[in-house]
Amino acid sequence: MGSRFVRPETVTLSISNGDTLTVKKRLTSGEQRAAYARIYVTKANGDLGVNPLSTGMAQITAYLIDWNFTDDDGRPVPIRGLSSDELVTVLDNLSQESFQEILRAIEQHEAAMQAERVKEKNAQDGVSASSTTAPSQAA
Amino acid sequence: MFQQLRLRGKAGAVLWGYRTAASLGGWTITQQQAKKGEPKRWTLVGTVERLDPFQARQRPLLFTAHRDKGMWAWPIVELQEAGPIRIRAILGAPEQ
Repeated sequence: MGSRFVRPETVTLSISNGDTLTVKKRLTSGEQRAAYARIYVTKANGDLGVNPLSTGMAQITAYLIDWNFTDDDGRPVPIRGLSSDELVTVLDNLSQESFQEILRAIEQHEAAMQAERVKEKNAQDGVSASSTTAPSQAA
Repeated sequence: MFQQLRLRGKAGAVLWGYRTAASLGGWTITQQQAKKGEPKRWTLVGTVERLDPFQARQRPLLFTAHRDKGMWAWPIVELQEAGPIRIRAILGAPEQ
């Protein structure tokens, strides 16, 4: 079995118009928890509830590291190193279509990575199951 | 010809990939005049504001700091001290 820790690897996703997104390959437990924390709100009665308006934004801010987007003057719009709150303010300036396209790309990436991990886990389980089986004695 | 070059900043970070292994307040990088034929040696000393001990043990690490037009980036060759208060490292040649 490999390390249980998540290395900070990135993946470049291509979207329309030749634009690219640099995203985290996989979230750590802390990054996932932070994303959940941005989705949940405390209701008046003290219970936790999901804010549906925040779910897409939380997923994007959890994964997105950088992009090659430029403004109308062709100047790069850097986002690398921004805090989640700062990134939200930049993302809020995007067109609705662009925001949805980024969200779809990240959702597809997340689904692909989950499928890859299930495949890896199944392969590992298969190896460990066979390795723990004692060889049968020849009669 | 200078014998020693010193750079100072008020904020910087030690990165492991895209993650911040350490956030630094004030930092100083000193470049000692190298002996003939030896590579230049840069030493970083900084004040730690936040440290992730796990990430600080990973490799490769990069020291980064903002400058007027972009970022400084030095690879960390050797992390000599990564305590709760101070960080001290030997850096390679600046990358950008």
